[in-house]
Amino acid sequence: MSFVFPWFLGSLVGLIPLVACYFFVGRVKSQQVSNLFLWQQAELVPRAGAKPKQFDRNVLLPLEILILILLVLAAARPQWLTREAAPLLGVVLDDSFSMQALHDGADVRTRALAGLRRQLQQETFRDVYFVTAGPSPRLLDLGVWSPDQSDAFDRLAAEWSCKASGADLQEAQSLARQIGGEQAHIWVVTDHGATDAPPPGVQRLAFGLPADNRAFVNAVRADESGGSEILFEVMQGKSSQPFVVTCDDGRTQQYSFDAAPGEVVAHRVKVQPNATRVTLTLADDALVADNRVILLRQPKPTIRVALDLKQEDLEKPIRRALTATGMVRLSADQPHLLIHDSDQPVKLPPDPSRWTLAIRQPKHTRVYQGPFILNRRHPLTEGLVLRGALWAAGTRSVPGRPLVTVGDVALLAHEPGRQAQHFTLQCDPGSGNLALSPNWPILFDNLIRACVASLPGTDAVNYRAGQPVRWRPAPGTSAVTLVPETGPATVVPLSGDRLWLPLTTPGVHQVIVRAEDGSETRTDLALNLMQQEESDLRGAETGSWGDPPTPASQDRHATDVTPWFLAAAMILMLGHLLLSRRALAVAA
Amino acid sequence: MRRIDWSAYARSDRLIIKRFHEEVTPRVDVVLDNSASMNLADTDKARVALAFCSFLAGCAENSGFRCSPWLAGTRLTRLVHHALPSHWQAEWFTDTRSPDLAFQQQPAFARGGLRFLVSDLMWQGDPTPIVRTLAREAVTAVIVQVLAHRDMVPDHGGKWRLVDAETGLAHEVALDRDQVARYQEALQRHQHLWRDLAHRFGVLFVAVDADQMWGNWQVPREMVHSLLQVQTP
Repeated sequence: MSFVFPWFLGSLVGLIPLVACYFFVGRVKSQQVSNLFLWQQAELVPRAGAKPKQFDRNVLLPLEILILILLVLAAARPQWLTREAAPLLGVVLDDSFSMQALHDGADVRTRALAGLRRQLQQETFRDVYFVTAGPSPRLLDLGVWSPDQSDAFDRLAAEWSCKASGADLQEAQSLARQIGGEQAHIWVVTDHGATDAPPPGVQRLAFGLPADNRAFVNAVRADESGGSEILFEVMQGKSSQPFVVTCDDGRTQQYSFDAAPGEVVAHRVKVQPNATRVTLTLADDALVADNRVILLRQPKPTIRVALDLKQEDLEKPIRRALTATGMVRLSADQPHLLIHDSDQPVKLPPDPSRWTLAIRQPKHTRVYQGPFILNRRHPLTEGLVLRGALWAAGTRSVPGRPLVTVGDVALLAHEPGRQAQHFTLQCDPGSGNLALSPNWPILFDNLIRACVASLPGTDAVNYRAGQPVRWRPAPGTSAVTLVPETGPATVVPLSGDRLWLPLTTPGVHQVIVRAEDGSETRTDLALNLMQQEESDLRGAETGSWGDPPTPASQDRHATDVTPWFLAAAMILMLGHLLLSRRALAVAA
Repeated sequence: MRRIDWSAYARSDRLIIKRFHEEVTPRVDVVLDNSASMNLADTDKARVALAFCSFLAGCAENSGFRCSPWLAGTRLTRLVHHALPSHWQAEWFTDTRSPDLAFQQQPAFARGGLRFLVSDLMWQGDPTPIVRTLAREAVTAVIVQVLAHRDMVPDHGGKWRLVDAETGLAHEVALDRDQVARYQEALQRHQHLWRDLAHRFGVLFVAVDADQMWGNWQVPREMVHSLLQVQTP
């Protein structure tokens, strides 16, 4: 307990005259008398009330002393420093894979846990909560957690995996501040020191050590009809020793490199076109996780497009543009996209996910030179440069949300649907130069790519850790299961027409999609840890930055118990009043 | 007619009536309460009691009476020395109990004499045997109650430990005005009991304030009047 105004405690000297008064008034004087029986007779009548009276008199002094003490303490404004009064502690845990860096057999995470244990034994906090700092912050649900519990740090270690591609410490710090409020103290546990002084209430605790670590920082695979190529970049560690990259695409090849400390070396290698999996590896060093990259073969997506074109001068440039995309197979059998130029297109089996492009050729056309206004946020307008284009179209707008307009005339419009998307284009290929300009194949390439992007599955098979992995389930999908290279499988809950796959561990993950009819499709996805900032351990540090919580800051959280003292004093005063009245009644 | 002194008539030719009165034995018994309560600390009670006895003994001596002093303690003891009271030899006020038992011994008081009991009468019990013993075959009996001023008007205020002068027993009591008033009522009831009983047996009861009397010696008026009046058979 502490006092805001401790000098008020000096008022306790007021007890001295009170006790003195009681001493002098209540002291027993001795006197010799001739007899006692007359005195005893005098007491016979009020004897029934004499005991309470004497009791009251004996009790009044302690009551008055207690009341005086309570009033003095209340004037000193007592504050109760309990565990609840201590500040909250929010611990931001760097969840990036750089925390796995080994040094003398122990990784940074283990050292950080030991350091946390030491720190928590020295400080007292009301409660502790943990926020892991990955690409996005996450509040750990540890239930009732106290550093005194025997399994406290084991449970924390189980939740703190350190497999994220990076750590947005600032965002995690903001979340911790939002949870704990302005009075909370925040520890940021990481492996790098702070370049700037942390803000008040934030303490950065680093447990890293500089280490020699080489890592892949970039790797991409290009599968073309002519062959497959891989481009990778390797960052040299803090030494300048030569290193070897092993490429396994069914056959093993090794490439040696010399580089200065911290230098990034890029290299391009050809791999077998039919290799479904290419693995690049580096020799083991401080950080093992960034020494391997797996690149899977990206299958070429193909969609079926049906053409229902009555105008011959329109069909030729459209066919040519579609062929140029390399992702189209013209077919009238369950097409993904229907391109037509009539009001009553060919009858096809109904498909709620089928896209359509209706091309309107007005009777009275005008050739517009611009200026054209494009909705740049739409994928169909990406890369369109209409400067110099002569667009022959009618004078009325096509229905839908305008994507390209000239004046008040919409030339290209979009009518969004739940699954299928409908576009309307008005143009006269016989007039103007639109079909002859580069905008024509660009427009159709955008259309085909947008249509491909709506197909079930993912856009890519090779992902960098931290990159969101979006999966579009096909209609009739009953379950999506994610099976990592190591560890238990995860059933991804279905919600809406797209879902995000929680790829966390590097390696190859298999996505098993089970349809309602019982059929299964399996797709492999590769996740690689490639973050130069995390792999660069040359700047890792151990130390503490920022001010630790001070007792003064804990005082701010102390509970003011003055009202309790005043209430107790009031109750005692009431009791004193009742006893005094009772004593007077007995005496009467 | 038969009270006429015929012989004298014959000699003097005057009618002379003979008057007779019982002859009083010229003896005085003075009983002094020798209990410790008579020597109450810080009071003149003992001095006044002794002075009273001396006064009575002196008066008896001057009147030709034979004075017999008695000390009433656990027993009734007659002081054999008949000299002046200043020469009486005794251990004054040392008895630790009241003299009520002493009067059960049927003391050898002189028949037809004057009897005085000087005491504070501060004991609990039936006073009838004492008063009866004093009154029996006595011409005049007087009970002189000698009280200290503190016995009649006790101090009050605060807590007091009252110590019995005879037994040494202590009793703690908070003395306020009400408590003192109740004590004085009890004292008056006690005196009233003695006075009524004394009146019934023809004994004179006199109460004196020793502290007042010591500063201003004055024999109580009713005592003088009683002793000087002519006793008729």
